[in-house]
Amino acid sequence: MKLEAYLEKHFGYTQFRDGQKETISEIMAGNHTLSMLPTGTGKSLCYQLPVYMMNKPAVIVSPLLSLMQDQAEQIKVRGEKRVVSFNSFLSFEEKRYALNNLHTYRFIFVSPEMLNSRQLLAGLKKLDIGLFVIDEAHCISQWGYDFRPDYLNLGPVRKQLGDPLTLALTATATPAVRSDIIKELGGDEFTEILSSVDRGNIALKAEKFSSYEEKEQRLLTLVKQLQGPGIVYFSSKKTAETAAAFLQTQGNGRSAFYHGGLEQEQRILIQQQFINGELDLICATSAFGMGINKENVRYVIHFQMPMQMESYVQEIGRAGRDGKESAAILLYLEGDEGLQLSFIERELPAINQVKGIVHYLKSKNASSGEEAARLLQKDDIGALFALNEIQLRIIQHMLLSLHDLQDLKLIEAEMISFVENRKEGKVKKLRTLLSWIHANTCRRELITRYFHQKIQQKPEQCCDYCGIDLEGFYQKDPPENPAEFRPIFDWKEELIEMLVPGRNE
Amino acid sequence: MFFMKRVKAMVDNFLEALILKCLQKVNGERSISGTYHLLKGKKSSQTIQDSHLFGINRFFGIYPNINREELNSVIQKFVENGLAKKLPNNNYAVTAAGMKELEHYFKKYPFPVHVNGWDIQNTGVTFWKRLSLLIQTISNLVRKQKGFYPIQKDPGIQKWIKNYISGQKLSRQDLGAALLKELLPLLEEVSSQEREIFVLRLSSSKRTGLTYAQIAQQLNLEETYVYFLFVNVIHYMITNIKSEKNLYKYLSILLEGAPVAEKPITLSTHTTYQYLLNGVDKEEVARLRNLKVSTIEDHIVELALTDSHFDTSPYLQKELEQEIASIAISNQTRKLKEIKERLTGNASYFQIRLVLARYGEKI
Repeated sequence: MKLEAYLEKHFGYTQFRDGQKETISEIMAGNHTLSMLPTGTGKSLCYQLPVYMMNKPAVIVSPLLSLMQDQAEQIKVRGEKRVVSFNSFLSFEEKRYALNNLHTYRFIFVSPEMLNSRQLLAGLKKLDIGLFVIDEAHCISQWGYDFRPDYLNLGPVRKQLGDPLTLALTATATPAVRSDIIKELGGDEFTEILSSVDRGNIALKAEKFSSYEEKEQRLLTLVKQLQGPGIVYFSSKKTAETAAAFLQTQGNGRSAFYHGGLEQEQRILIQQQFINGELDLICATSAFGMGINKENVRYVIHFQMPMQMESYVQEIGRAGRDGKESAAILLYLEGDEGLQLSFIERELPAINQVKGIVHYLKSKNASSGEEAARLLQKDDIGALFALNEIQLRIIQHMLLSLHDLQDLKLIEAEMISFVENRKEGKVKKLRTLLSWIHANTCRRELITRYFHQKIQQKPEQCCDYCGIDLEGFYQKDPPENPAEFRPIFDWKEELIEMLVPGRNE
Repeated sequence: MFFMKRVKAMVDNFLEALILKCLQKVNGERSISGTYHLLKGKKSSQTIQDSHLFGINRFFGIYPNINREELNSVIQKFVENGLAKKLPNNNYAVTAAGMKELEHYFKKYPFPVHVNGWDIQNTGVTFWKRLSLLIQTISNLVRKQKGFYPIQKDPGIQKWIKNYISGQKLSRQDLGAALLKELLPLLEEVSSQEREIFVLRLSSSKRTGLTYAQIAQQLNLEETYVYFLFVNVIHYMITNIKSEKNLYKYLSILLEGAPVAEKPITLSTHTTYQYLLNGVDKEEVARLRNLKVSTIEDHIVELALTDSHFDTSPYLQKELEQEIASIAISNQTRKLKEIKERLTGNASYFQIRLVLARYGEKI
């Protein structure tokens, strides 16, 4: 049977999207594969279909709880019942049940922390794993834009599982990050499937401003004129909130803000409203978007620049997944990079914090890296040295990779140089994005060049350098009076309608 | 900047009023951390005891989303506006102006009377998660719509609802009607604002539920007040369902096995309790459990707070108990040192705390 026949049989589609067929062919040929597919092009199909074809289970490692839940849910909504997710949501009994019945599942989702569980690992070892999938694989690279120390454990885990056939998935990774992924996973040979990072249906534009008020006014004009739905990205929670409030008072009723500080249920509601078309505009931080399947986002505006090109490409990639014309507009005010610089500072431990930690370990006579890492966990060190969670995890990870702690002076130097290198790397990436904003050449070409690729074909609506007509993205008939947020409602009628539809009539 | 012009009020929202209220009740005898843990619902002996001692156990765990920075900045604002002042011991007390503001504020926005964080605890959260998912599910099932995105992501809750629905003998239509019949009278009993909030929060096959902020905007209320009114409805429902289970056949099932102990004590306290029940004295419990005697004493105070039948006589003679209680009541004080100094005889701080635990709310 041809791949297309399997596709139709299991999913009802007749055609593969860009990169899917290539990836699946490699997997079915038994090759470890690293696939770089743009967000929203159906990455999960690349492991779902082989599971049915091989009739063997897949173990899927996913970095974010919400992402894992969403993917598991999407598979379940399709009618597949043999899905399990190992994460902190599982109760003790549920975990035990799932562990005892591990062989019955087709799709086993695990968080990287869960892979530390000996029981789970022992259970997985007994399975005939068809495919080991690493979603958002760039998280394994410390040079990736979303480094997660927990991911570094995946190499050893993979080895323990007996080097199963592996698929590493990512949306955006530079050649350096890709080779880092392969190296960290144990150095086996990987076939790379790279679909273009270029999204021809997204027009690119950067606009520069000399005052905040000007930029803010421009945002207002844009969201009034542009055809929604749209997402506006901000770097800080506070700005996202105040901007949403400002836009609402200016008549953009169907908008809301979204960030990681919101209670989980409130976040789900906003997400769901946006997907269902009950909202036209989301003012969000980068926390918004992962795992959200919405095809018809028409524009993405960056009110503040992201930290690097990878995040930028990822975020604008949430527009136009249906293939229709969409716009990505970045608004830049001189000095905007300052905020990102301060984030970089905050993400990494400072030199004196590293020194403090080393001094502390010396006083505790820690003998091995493992012991040291444990010490840091137990003693509530974070508060003592004013380290945030990410900083602490980075330090713990550095310690874990050490065998003995004989020469603490040397270790201190190593840690400091790690921090400095990483900081330098990040600042360099920020500068690259900054120069992209100021560039006087085709923006699309620059993006593809950044990922060492070439454009196949320049679209008509390319970028502000090549010339675009933003009016093409305006609403055809802007509503004269924006509708009320929601009509007055009768609570009783509504409740009856929910539970006993038809009784109202 | 995106700032909107606003007349500066003394207390900007209901949450702030609640924080000020906590400061007033605690009266400078505990640090801000105490209020933080109270609103978060930290299950430590200290937090549980204090919440009873100062008569604020209804606020226990009712705003788990609070963060420290937010709390600190609110208190900073109180100080700047003269509503609270810093004491020499670094704690805060409410000023006369603060008292006036509190009175004024709660007159305008009465404190939701059914809110009872201590009695209801996590049951409220579980009940809402189950109920909202149940209603969403039924709303989809009766329209024969399959494959919707559940509004509650917790797999435990999802599985529970699945079992609930498949475990009922009623058809889905009849189950919807039965739930409606139980919900309507409950909602008729709360204010019109409250039932609107409740229904707006629900998700159905036709629309997604609204967030607190969106409801606030629609009903022209303030966001945190919407939140507390919502909690009020939920707590009202639970209290009624619990007391008349036969009237709420289908809703009462939603309360079953909700993760809350009948006696919400810490695990460690529970262990101590088991020893005490077996006649082991507190020094021996400390030795057996490898804990300090003072820790065991904390547990005993906690037990006295949570269980009105807990026997305190092994630690306290009746006369001493009465003397301590009368000093505390007549002088309107909970200050251990002050009480100790006024006593004719001798008493340990442990014994005084034990009495305060018993009489806490009368003082």
